[in-house]
This record gives sequence, C-alpha cells and structure tokens, in this order.
Amino acid sequence: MAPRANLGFMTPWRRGRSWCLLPTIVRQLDPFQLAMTPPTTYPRPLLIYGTAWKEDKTAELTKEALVAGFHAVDTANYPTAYNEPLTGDGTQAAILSGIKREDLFVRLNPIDTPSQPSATSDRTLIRASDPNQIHASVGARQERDPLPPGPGRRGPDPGVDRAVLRPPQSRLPGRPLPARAVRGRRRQRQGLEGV
Amino acid sequence: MFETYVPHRIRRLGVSNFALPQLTQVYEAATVKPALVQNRFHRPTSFDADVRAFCADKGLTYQAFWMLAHNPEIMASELVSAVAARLAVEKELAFYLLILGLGGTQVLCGTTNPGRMERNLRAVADFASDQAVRDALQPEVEAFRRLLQELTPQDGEGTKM
Repeated sequence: MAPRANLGFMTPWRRGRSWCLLPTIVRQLDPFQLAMTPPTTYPRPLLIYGTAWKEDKTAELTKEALVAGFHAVDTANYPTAYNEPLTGDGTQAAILSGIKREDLFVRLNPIDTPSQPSATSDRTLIRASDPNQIHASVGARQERDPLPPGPGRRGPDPGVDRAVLRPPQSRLPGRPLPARAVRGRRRQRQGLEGV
Repeated sequence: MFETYVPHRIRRLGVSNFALPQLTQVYEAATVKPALVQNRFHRPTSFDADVRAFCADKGLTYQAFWMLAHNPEIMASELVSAVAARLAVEKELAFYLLILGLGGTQVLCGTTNPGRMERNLRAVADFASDQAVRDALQPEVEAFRRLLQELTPQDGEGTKM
C-alpha cells in the first residue's frame, strides 16, 4: 500500500490507468521533482572471495572460502597478484568436497595488460584487439579448468560466469598511486592490484 | 569480441578500473552490455559516485575492492567505529556493510582468516535476509554517504577520474 501522503498525488494517474500499477510507481516517484528514483537493489551474492595475493596458498584458501560459504570467486590472469590455475584447483577441490558448481560464481579477468610485466608471467600476453588471442584464451580456459558436471545444472556449464575486461592500462593516467597501504614487497614494487 | 562468447561460454561480461567516460563509451558501443563494474573504492576517484550513479541507472552491479587498506579516513571515522560497536563486529566488516548498504553493490573480501570468513559471511547473510537489519543500518548508510561526500576531493585538491 502506498503511503497515504502520496494518495493525493496519485489521483491524476487514476484516469485511464490501472490501479494495480500505481503503488509501485508512486513509491518510486519523488513528488517534488517528479523524478523516478530507482529502488535500492542488493545483488547476490553480496560478498565475493578475492584471491589476490594468496600466492601458493591460493588453492587452499579458495577451497576454504567456498566451503565456509562464499559463492563467488574473483581471479585474474594477472600473475603478479593472482594465481588463476591455483584458484581453479581450489574451486575444483571445493566441488569435489560437495560444493555444487551451480551454486558458484566464477569470475576472471581474461586480458593481460601492458602494465603486466611479462617477466613475472608464464602466460602469453593477450591483447583485446586480437581476435585470435581472445579465442585462444577463452578456449584454453575451458580445457585448463574443466569442472565436473553437477546434479541439477540448468543447461551446459559455460565454464566462466563472468569475464571482466580491463582498460589497456591498469593504472589510469591521473590516478595517483595511493602512498599507503601497499603491503608486502611485491605489492610495493608493482603498486597495483589488491583486495 | 568477447560478446560472441555470451552466454554459452561466458555468462556475463563486466569491466574493471573504468572511469565514467570509459564506462559510458563501452556501454553505448556494446551489443552485450557490461553487467558489472569492478573498481577501486577510494578517495582519489571520489568513491566513484558518478560511476555508481550510472550503474544504478542502468542496472549494473558495482563491485568495490581496494577498500580496507586505502581508506584510512573512513577506517578511522567515528561512523565506522560506531557501526562496528553497535553490531559487535570488526571495523572492516562494518565498512563492508556500509558499502553494501549503498545498494547495487558487491564487496570483494580477501581475508585469509577462517574465523573472519565465517563472521563476514554470517553478517552479510543477516544483512541480505533480514529487512530489519537493513532498516537499522539505513541512518548509518546515510551518514556514510555524507562522509563520502565530505572526503571527496574538491577542485584542485585531487584528481577526479
């Protein structure tokens, strides 16, 4: 039921319109500015497990997080901060221990950026402008990170729930590097990602 | 190019470290619209107020990272301490909940501590499932919005992307 204060405001809307839509409309309407205010929404899941800076503990911690109740995992083909293969291992270990694939949300950042020092990477850098490299990258992930089939899955497993694309430079021009809070030598050297 | 993989190989696409002009450009040009923006939530970008408004308008999810270690003013604020005390949680978790209270947001949590994983998950689950918890947080979320505005760099004070 719409607040009573709004009922008078609703009156002109009644003519030729269905009542049933009005409570929703009026709740979102600012009576002074006639502007639509989007209702507050809360995406699910709210909390994502960030696998950055876990290094050789990435698999163990990813599994632990998923078993503890996280439903979403964030990783990236960005070896300075992330270990994507170990995130895959941890995810698979969680699934084998009983976590359902269809309850998980796997997210990765498929493109390496020029800011990624290739010396620390065992991967070929991928450029968004090169279709062959993109095909190779997505295809390789399917083969590298196969997930076991699970009961109750709706449709084929896409393998990746969400891919996040980064701009050519991780550190955008004009964005000052925060002076504080880059923990660890590697982070200080790179001064980039971290969660 | 990645659009051709949606939704059979990749369910949804998102973007990361995008300022509003880039986001607008990609959003308008893309056939498959990004569903998510993952950005650093910190002072130099004015806490992405403009990006978050765009996300809310278009129905995109805003995913915050880089928060805990890069927001000393917020972590030291009376507000975060007060929320932490009221909910009997750590300040880090109070900060997460305030960001979630903004709406349309997700938070990246990278803790390595099993106890903290469980406490964070439990508090966020309460927030997600209990309207009373969200309602009780609302005045603090409004105070949080004001704090973000106060901390936003003014012209000449910092760079706004």
